[in-house]
Amino acid sequence: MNESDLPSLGDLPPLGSDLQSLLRDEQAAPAMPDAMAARIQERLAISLTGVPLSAPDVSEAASATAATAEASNGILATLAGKPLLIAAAAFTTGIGVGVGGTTYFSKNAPAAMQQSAEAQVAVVLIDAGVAALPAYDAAPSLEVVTPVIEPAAPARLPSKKEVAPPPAPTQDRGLAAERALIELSRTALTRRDAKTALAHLAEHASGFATGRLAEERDALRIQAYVLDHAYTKAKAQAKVFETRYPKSVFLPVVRNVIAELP
Amino acid sequence: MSTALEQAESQATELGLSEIYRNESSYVWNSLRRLGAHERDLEDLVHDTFLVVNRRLGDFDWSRPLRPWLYGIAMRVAADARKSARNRHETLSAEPPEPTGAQPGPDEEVSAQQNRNLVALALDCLDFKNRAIFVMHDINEHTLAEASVALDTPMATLYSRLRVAREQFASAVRRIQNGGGAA
Repeated sequence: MNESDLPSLGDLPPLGSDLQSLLRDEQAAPAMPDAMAARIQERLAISLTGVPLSAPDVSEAASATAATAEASNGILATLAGKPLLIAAAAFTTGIGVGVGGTTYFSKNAPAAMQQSAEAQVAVVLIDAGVAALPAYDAAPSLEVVTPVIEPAAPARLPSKKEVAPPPAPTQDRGLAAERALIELSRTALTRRDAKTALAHLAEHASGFATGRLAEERDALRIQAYVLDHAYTKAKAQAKVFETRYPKSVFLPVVRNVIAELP
Repeated sequence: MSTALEQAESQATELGLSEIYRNESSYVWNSLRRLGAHERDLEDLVHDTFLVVNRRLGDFDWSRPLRPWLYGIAMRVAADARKSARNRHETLSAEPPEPTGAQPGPDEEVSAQQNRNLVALALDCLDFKNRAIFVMHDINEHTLAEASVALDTPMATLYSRLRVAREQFASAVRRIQNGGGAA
């Protein structure tokens, strides 16, 4: 039914000219203050890319429940022993991309715990609303500094079967595949496994060089380099990222990560 | 027009989260404010809204206008926030919002700000569902058809709510102007 088909629309009590004048003033209300817009943008960037880079001990990961609670309470990332400015304050209420910290387990953790954590990864892959960021579809991949990636002994890459399907039917199956790879790399970063993260990111770059999540991939790659102590590569990639995506929502996180480097 | 051409045109309009945030964050912010979000919660709610936008962007039908879809998400985020606030025995908005970005200036601007405060007070007198359609239709100027899709509500229902909302709004404005307060 179209609006014009509503026979009773004319019965709406008309808004008097004085009320219409009030509403016109409301319609002309000022825009959101710039400072607030910038703060929210930074928080969004952290929420979408802010992987907790701290490496809890196995003992810290003993309880998956505790780890999840820690993740949802926000994460103050540390990197290479240096505190970062990143505080993942937005991992709240189930609305956000609840990726951070849900997979706190180490390679030495008991197998049962690993299985439990991997089950969490699957849940995260379902819940995580990562990202359709198609703004830069046409942008070439950020391969100025080609990473030498040795995915030789990845700490148990989840097989394709372990990758959960996208949360809802999407218009683009390619996007779901992209999203899965990005999630795998994000999960690897969560457990401080830079090599595995870089492997997944390289796989994404190879399969989706100009994909819809290329921007997010490039931001994650910078974090992976930093985690891998490849500071020179990280800085070079950051410069390219800033040039290529000058208005990226991920830019604040990239800048903060680089600012912490020696 | 061929389907392929329509698809090409549709795809050409696809935006990423960064661009949507850049273009529409103020729209979302004002919508949340008009829906009664308290000043102190606005930042969180805009943030939460765009997280949902990001999560659902892949499913968005780009042949449809973007803003009604954004409004629908913002409305649900605001509704959830109201429920949470009610559970905490708090009120989301009991006083007119702080003037935002309004600098002392010409009389017209002072008058406009006073009018906006009056609108905020009057909107607080509306039931939330009525308020949602009133804001969407009469302030944000979306059509009922757009609202029906965005709010997943039959048009006849929205029409009924809009009719009640207009009556409530007009009554509230009169009451406030006569010194009766917003209750």
